[in-house]
Amino acid sequence: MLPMRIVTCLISLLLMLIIALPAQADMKLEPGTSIIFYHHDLLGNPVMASDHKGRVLWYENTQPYGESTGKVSSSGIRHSDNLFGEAVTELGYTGHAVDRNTNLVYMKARHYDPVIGRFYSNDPVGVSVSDPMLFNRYAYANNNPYRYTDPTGENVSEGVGSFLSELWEGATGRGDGQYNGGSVKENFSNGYDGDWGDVAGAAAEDGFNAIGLFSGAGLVYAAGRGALKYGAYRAAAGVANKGLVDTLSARARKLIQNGELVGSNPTAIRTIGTGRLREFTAQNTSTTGGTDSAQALFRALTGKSPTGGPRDRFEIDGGLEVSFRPAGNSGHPKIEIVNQSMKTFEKITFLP
Amino acid sequence: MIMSEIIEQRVVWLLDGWKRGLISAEDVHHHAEKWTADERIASELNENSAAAEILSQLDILNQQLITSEDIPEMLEFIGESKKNASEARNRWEKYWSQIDFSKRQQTLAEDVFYAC
Repeated sequence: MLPMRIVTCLISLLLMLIIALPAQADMKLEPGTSIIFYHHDLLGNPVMASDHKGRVLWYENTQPYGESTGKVSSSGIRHSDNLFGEAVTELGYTGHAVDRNTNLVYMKARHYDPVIGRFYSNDPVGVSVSDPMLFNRYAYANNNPYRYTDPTGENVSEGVGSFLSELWEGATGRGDGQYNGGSVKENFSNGYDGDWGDVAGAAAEDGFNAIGLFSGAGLVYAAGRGALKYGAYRAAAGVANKGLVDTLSARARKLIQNGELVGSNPTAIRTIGTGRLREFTAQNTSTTGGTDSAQALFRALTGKSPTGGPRDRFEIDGGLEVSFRPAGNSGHPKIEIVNQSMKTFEKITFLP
Repeated sequence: MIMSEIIEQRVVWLLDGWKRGLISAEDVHHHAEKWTADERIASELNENSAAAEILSQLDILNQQLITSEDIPEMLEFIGESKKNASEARNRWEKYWSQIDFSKRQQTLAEDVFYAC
């Protein structure tokens, strides 16, 4: 007779087979369906999605305070969220739900705006006079988003970043070299930094009152989109050789002096209500070709090469002011053209 | 919460950071350009709001010769427009009409950001 222990093991094995085999059969997917896996970083930000075959559907990077740099497909092309369909998760910064209409992050007690790194309402926990970090009740994670997160919108939590930081200190001989688990608990009760409150705080405390409407002429923000007649002349795209630039010069001048501007895909067409360019018609347009094309157009219009210095704004004949703005902090390179006689202003962005 | 309110908060945040010297005119310009180019913001923004007006100005602040001197007026415009929109608008237009832009252009002529 078999010992009781062996009988028990055999019965358990049999039960496991009975349960596991149909379960395995259930894992077989219906045609046209798929399982999407979301991968996150140490803060809980979703950084990649893959399917059940291991294919990457998208990946994205998140800036420290949570602003996304945009989803990139496996082929390396950046798309808007809409194009990824069901592969887009509702989870966002630090694993919280995101309102895709506004891109605000819902942190349970409050909404958080990753663009400015601030909450839109004050901390419901209140202020403690013993902790100056609590005085700014709109700040996020003690203004230290790599080290802290805010799981509930009420209190910061010291997490994995801190653990790794202390581990690193230990490995490198810096700091005390020990992970102090007590600090995690302690920081659950910590609040917010106090460096920003006055104006924004006051504005936020005012709540989201109805925004005033103006009876004056005002600007017509994008209202005239498509209504104005502009040339769709991609003057600078791919322009590189001198011969072509010389040709472009005459044509570009003529186009601009006739009131037909240079870029394509006009957006943000508006009448400027106040300031130096009052009553001018402004529009933003874009074309391709990056810095080379921007410089080529600048040369074509002004006969000068941009230097990156203050001399890169030229007033040329026909009442035109042409400015070159290099790529850098301001994003892609741009040419800005003020046409004093036609009262138009165009900002042309040169995408790669 | 509608987009106009969100943008208003962002604009206030930008102006406050600029006023405190935490960010530069170029940073302000960069953010305003990015938000202006965002189609969702453009389509949902209340075009008559103070936030929309200021955002459109910051989008071209180098051409408009807007400097940190103008920040208090911009914040005032946002605040006052909630109380009396037409009065705030009048004050706003009056403020800009009394600026000597030729003088500003001379002052800013050597500033790389404004001049280029």
